Amino acid sequence: MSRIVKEYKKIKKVLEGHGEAFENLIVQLAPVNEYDLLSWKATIRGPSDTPYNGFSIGLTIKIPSDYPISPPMVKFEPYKMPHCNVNFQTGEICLDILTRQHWSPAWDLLHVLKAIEQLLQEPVPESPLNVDIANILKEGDRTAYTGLVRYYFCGGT
Amino acid sequence: MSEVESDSYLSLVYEDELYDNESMELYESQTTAVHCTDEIPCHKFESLQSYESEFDIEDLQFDEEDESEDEPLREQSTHTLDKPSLDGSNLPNLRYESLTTDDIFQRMLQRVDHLQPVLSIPAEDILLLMQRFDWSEERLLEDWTEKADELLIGSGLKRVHEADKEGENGLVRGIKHRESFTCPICCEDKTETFVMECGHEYCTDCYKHYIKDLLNQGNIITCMGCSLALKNEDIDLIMGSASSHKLMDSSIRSFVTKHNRNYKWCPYADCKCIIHLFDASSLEEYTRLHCSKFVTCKSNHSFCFTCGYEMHAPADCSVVSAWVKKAKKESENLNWVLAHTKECPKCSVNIEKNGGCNHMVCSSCKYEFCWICGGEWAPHGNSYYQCTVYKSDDDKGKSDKDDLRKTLKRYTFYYRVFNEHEVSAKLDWKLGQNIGHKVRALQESVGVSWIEGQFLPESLKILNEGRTALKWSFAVAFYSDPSHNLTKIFADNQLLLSNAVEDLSQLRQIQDPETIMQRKTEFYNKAGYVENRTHALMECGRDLLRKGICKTKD
Ligand SMILES: [Zn+2]
Ligand SMILES: [Zn+2]
Ligand SMILES: [Zn+2]
Ligand SMILES: [Zn+2]
Ligand SMILES: [Zn+2]
Ligand SMILES: [Zn+2]
Ligand SMILES: [Zn+2]
Repeated sequence: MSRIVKEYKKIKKVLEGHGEAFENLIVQLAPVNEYDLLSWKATIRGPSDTPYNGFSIGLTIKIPSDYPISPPMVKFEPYKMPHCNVNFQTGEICLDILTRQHWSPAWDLLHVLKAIEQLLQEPVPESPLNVDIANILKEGDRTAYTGLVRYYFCGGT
Repeated sequence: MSEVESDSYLSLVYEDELYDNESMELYESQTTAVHCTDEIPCHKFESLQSYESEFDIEDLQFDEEDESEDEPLREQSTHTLDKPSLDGSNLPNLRYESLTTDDIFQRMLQRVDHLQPVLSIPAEDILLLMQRFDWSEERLLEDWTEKADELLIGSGLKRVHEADKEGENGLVRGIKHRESFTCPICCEDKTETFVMECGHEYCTDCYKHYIKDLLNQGNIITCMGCSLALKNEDIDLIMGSASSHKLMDSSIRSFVTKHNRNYKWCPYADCKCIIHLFDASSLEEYTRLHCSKFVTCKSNHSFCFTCGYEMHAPADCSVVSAWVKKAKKESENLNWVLAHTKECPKCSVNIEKNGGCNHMVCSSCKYEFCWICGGEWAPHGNSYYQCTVYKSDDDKGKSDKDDLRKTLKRYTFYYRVFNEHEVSAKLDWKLGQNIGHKVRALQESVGVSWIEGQFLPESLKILNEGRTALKWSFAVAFYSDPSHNLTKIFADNQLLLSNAVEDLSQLRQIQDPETIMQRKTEFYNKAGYVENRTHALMECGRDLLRKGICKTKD
């Protein structure tokens, strides 16, 4: 458990320190309540040059009891996330480093958010959880992709 | 009728004079008794004796097995002898061997030995490369000749910057004992750590947690901080001796699963055997002829290589899958069928079945009845087993609903008989578990040799095979066109086998060793008869399938 305590302290420092590589990415990364470090919420900025630019995106993070041997469980919540590697209904993310097999105990939550940023920049339509968006991407229709993402963010269902 | 008369299962019926008359009558009327008589057709006696000698040869082969190195193990005989037509007509003889993950791993180690002079890197490293390439020597060598260095780096055997010696801090891989060390993973102060050339150092407790689950996955395990690979010796150092064996085992397991065209796990619970079929391409020929390749593992479990079910002839794999699917769907409605106890139809005392024989005698009122249909036994014993044939009601309800009910009723009947035979087979098998004791009892009390006592397990084996064939024949019957003449002939063959099986099963309930020895000839005789009837039923079933009379709807 003291590992997550250490991370907590580090994250606080990083987010207060500014100037870090995380400033453009992280709006918020904190435990849901200060007494329970097993449940976190995060808000990240949609990366520029992506249809997500200009939007804030919410995530929840659950820390398993054997963290960091096991990876954290990350989901897009509470808002629905239109992305070809995200289950639209559940917010579940298909990202290799979040699986037991590819996760390294040397990584931390900041690594995880970096990896998610990268996924937003480079979607992988070959292994889709959202087939509709994957198909649009495979056709290379950037305009339709941006349009669809924005439609969902602006209240579409 | 003339169309089928030349077929082998019929000629087999006609084969010896003893059954000639009966079978002739069988196809004309349906009334004459066919029963196993006590007379001995002597060629059958011989055929059973040859079983014994085959047993000897097999034992010898088993002993030699350890010495055979690269050579694939001999085919474990499936005890079918060399009867030419048991596997259908011109089927290719598919050779196979029964292995364990350890056997396969030993072979891989031999390949590593062969590769070592070629690659000239430590054997440990080659093992790791083989693991990475799914144990394919060819793919490994291909990549090696093209880009050996890249390969070593990509497999975590070499560090990217190793060449320029930068960051070389004289670190030797291994366990370190420290005064005080704050582990970056658990953030606790620890004294025992594991460090690698990359400089990444973590406490051994963290490494233990990390490695533990990964052992089951069979992939290369790396440093927790980078992609440098942990070798088997490192794993054993951290986790305790022979822990890497588990990793190798998982890796071989995934090899077997990935190569499931040639390798199949024995489907029996807790069995660790793997069947390796040398030439899987000929399996298609089997499928085309509605035959199945049945294999037997080292622990003597027989199963179909294609679908993994028990020996299911005369049914082919598609009949089996359709039948099983249907049974699953209907099982909720039909659970009552599975009950192992029944009330005596006369006095309602509860009777539990303790052997496979379907000839029941009520312990209370001594009423003799048939377990399957509940009817009085007398007609069963002396005439055909009428309870194996579904008798459709002649009421001519024309509506769809009635049709549906009729279909269900017909299915229920076949399902019920199928199940009863399954239960019987299991009970017979249970009895067979004590067969070793029985043979020993024979040896001790009657003074027969081990070889002489073998007729007992052999007859049990034949009984089981007969029951299994009978059981699956009901799946074939269910999917067969009831109006076709061959379907009727098939039903007749079922009756004959059913009778033969019940007869042998009854004999097997004798407990007294001396009586068993006295009736040894009867065992031979009846087992031989069951064998022939099984054979005939299988042939007939295959014909139904080949001629398209037996068809699953999808
Ligand atoms: Zn540690
Ligand atoms: Zn490292
Ligand atoms: Zn087995
Ligand atoms: Zn099969
Ligand atoms: Zn009986
Ligand atoms: Zn009774
Ligand atoms: Zn009956």
